[in-house]
Amino acid sequence: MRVDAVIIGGGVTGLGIARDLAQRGLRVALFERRDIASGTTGRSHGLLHSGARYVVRDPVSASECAKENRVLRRIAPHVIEETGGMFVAVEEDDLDYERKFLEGCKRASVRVEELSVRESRKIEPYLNPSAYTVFLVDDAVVDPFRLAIANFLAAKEHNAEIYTYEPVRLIVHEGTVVGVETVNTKQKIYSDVVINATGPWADFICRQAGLEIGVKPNKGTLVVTGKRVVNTVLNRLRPPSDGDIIVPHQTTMILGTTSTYIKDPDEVMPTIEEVNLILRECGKMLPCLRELRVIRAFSGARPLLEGTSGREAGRTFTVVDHEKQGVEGLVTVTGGKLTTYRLMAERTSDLVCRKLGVRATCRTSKEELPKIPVRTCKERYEASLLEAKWEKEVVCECELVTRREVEESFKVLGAKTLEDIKRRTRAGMGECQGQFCAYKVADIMVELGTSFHDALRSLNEFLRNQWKTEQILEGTQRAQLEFFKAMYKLVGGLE
Amino acid sequence: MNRQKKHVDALVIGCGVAGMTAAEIIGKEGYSVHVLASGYGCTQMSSGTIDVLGRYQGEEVVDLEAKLDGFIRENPRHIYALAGKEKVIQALTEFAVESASHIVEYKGEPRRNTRIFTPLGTVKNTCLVQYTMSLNNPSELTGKKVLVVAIPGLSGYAPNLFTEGLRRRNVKARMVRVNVPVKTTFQLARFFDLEAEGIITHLKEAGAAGFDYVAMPPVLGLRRTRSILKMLEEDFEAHFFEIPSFPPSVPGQRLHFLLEEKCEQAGVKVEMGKIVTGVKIKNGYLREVEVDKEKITPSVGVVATGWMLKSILRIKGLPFQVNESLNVEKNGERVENLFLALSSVSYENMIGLGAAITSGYLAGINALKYLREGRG
Amino acid sequence: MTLKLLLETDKCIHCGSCTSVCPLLNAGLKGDPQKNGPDALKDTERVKYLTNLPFNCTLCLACQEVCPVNVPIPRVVEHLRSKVKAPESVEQMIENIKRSENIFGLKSEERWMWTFELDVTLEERIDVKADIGYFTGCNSAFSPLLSKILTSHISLLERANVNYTLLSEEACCGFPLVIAGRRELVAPLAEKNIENFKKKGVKKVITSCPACLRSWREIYPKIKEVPFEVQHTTQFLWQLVKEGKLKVAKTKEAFVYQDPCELARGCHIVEEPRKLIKETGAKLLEFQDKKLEATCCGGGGLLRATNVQAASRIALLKLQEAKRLGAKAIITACPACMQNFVKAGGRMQVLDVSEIL
Repeated sequence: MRVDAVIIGGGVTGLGIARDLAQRGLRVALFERRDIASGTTGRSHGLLHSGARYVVRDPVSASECAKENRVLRRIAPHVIEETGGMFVAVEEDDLDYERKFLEGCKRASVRVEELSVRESRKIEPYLNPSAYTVFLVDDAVVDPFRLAIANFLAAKEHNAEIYTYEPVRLIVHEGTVVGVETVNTKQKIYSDVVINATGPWADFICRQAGLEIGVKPNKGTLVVTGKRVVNTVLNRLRPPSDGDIIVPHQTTMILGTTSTYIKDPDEVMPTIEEVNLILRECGKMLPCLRELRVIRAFSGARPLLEGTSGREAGRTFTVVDHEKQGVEGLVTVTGGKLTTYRLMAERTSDLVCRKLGVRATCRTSKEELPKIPVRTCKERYEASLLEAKWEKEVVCECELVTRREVEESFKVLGAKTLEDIKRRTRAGMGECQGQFCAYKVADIMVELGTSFHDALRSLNEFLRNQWKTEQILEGTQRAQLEFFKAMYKLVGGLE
Repeated sequence: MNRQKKHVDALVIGCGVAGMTAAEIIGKEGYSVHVLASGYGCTQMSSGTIDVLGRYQGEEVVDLEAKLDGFIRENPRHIYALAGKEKVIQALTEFAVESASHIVEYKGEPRRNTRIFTPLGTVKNTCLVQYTMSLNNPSELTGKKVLVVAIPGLSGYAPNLFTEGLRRRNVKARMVRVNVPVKTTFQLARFFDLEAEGIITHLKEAGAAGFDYVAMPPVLGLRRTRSILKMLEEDFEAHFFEIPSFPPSVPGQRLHFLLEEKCEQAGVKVEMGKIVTGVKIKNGYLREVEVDKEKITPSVGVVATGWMLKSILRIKGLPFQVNESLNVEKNGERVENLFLALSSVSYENMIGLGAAITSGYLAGINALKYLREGRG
Repeated sequence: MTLKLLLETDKCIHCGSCTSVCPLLNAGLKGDPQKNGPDALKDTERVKYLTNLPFNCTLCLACQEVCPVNVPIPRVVEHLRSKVKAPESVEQMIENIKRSENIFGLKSEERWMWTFELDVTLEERIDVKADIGYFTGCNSAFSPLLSKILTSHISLLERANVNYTLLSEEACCGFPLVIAGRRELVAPLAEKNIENFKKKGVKKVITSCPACLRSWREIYPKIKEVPFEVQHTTQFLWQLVKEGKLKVAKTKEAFVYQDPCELARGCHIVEEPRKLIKETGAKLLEFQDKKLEATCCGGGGLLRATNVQAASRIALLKLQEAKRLGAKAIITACPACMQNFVKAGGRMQVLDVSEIL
């Protein structure tokens, strides 16, 4: 097989590049070793920064954020919830930071508005009553899965070929990268350029060509609560550190985060200490967190760039044409953030087009991303009132996912496993963590043609993943997981 | 509010399988037994099958009696070991035999396991099943024509997976969709109890004729299962059987009714909605149990509050150490007249209600012994 | 109060037990304790989309009783009712209570029309000093259909020579306000009722309506101190029978007893009505689900006001069962049950416990 460009990595950056290049008329093939958005993209808290978070330490990043923010709102309103955000300072926080914060916002043109504590509690009734400063900002929340799916659909609209569960290796011929070979089926795909968009795994690919880009994987842990009691994003008004954001996502809240350098981006498991730290710190903004039910904890690896450390590391990205290092045919893009993915994709695509002598210009900031045949929770609530047979259709009670959405996910959104369905529809992201919908989704898989063994295998994998946090979570969630296991192991007879 | 003390021979806390089994054993010997439960109980969470020991050392257990020996040797503190193999088999046998004259009969040979198809179409080992599931058996169904009834929107089982699972075992299974406007198995079971004829018409329209066997989700009535099954088998001239379902399940609820019936017959008083607010233990004896504002002085007590939600359910003032005869121990001291019907579920060994029946049985006969002889 | 309620619903393990016992669902209607309960408080948005789903509930308390982790679903339903727009009929009822202190909005003089049939004259038993106060409740007093409950109780109290009083200015107990989600309006009614009985030196208040009983036992003490014991008339009557102060009539008929939800699950009173029935020598038949596990008649939770077809449909299932049991009549101890059974149709006779004594 021969294409113009091969992209390795099905995160939001890789998919964004696929969209961009395909739009410009290139023949593109993307290979992702697991499912789209299953790497760093899917572990993001989804905060569409107003930029205010970085005005003090990283002003470049701050204005980059603010600009891209506006672009995303224009091209993908259906994957964004306009929540607004607050910066909250509590007793122990540094008063001087407030001054620096305001100055930084002004410099970076980030809009802020001060609220009295009383006004802020009208918007956020559960806010800590002893919070002493509150600023309103233009934060929003983007659903990273929906964003990835929208790019996936856009890329496919322009005939990009996207392959999931297809790990590949570089084919290097006399110092030139000429294409990739699939690991499982040994198929060879030749291309003019291979784009390495694997985020924290960038060096895994680079090393196959004898190169090193120096990305340093950095683990961040996030905690999910079963209920959503905030309307806006809550940020801590202090120098960015652990446990200072609360991000609402449909019917849940994501609390975070932490920052630890790790060796292997695949080795990411949250620890009890991290969970407790996040709950404690976030609890200073929202005291009810001490009692609210935590339903999940997960970790992801950030692609931080060499030369800097921890939170200080620049969040700007890098696009490298490895011909400068003597290897033709390979371009790597890494670093950056979820919300600047489109800009990263644009720069990468510009570089690639220059290399290949393609004249077309980038249109991704001008054209809207396609609609997704899967609803948001709000749309589901509305549908539950209006649709007659709606009751029969529900597969996941927690998130109100319907059969139709599950079927569409298999048919047009590239889902192959239960995990994939979870990413696309949110089935399994609620309090029961998929206990009562997993078997239904597996049943639909069989109905659509999957074999018995494959469906059971997918079910088992899904269950393993859902149960892996059993030791970390306490209280009601632990009881839930126990009940969950008993149901599938004792009644369902699974091993 | 009167604060009088009420005396009862035996007080059982918990109306699950273990508690009710213990209560019945004591009650049918003529003693006054009182069962207190905070709610309706969780028996409907089970699929209604009695799993004793399904897997041992990684292998499927067929000869239950033989494998129990090995299991007991390796797990001397397990309830099966504390009871001893003979008592385990005795408890299961009595359970099955006595069920024949009640609302739902349990079938099976306590010394051997049987195999059934699960709601996912896999196969698991179990010991006793409700008679509506006795034909749900791989060896019975191999080579036979089985119609699997799928009711769209009904939760609790996976009909497509189930049908494929049967096919994998050389069963000539075919799935048919029958549209009945229901959401839960309980709804349908209640309709069957009231008006089986209407649903039978639906089934006929869906073409349920021409098959040797028909596999239904477990909806064949909560109380009138015998007559419903008979009606179906006569009308269709086929063998009907039930597929177990995920919780909450109708067979699990039937098991609860079975235990209620047995207790009623044994003169046991079962009271739901009673929360134990305090327990008084003095000089090695249970003296008093406080429930709402009432004080009860039992001669002997049995605690059977269950395993699944033990992290949520608590009894104030009660320690949870226990010795070989299931006597509760407080600060290392044995409480002579208080027994704990332990529960232990094991996924690795596929142990479920078999342990509950055994522990209820053992606690019951030990409590009985105490009542007769004054010592446990 | 929302945070506390929120945390209670956090315990939900999604087992579906509540859904399996909901009488609306079991009658083939739209009912959903899980959606109306724990799921409804999942996020700040969902309340907007409930419209009047919270009113699709008889508040029979079965879901709470069966819940393995004791999520107070009926309390959540009540909370949701206070947040959504109430149906017209409910708004009207609230207005009626505010204006005339009874659910019908009728003049308070009409409360006494049922006494015209009595042998006892008005002055003798109204607003007199007595140990026992008989609280009649709006439903029984104003409905011609239900006033026989009161007349039969009066004749029993007279027969047993009980020193009792009725209140000329009885205000609605307030329970309909609570279940409409307007708990905050009950205070003035509570204070009036308590004061009025206090002035008569009453030591014990009895009522033949389980909803009024719950209001007196659970709601009133939170508003003002209730210096009397409060009992259901079946408890009081059984006490009289036990003490030999009341001789009951004898019968050989077969009756089936319907446990009113508010009495059985709400107040845990299941034995006394049965003892009274057995005392007459009658054959006591039982519905297959009885006592705490009894199924609702369909008449609770204001369902008759918001969806009368649903209420009747649920009642018909029980009437069918009663017929199949061969009962001469359904005996109940609640005016709401009686009203719903009678109005649902069918030829089954419905009697209050007091009527066979």
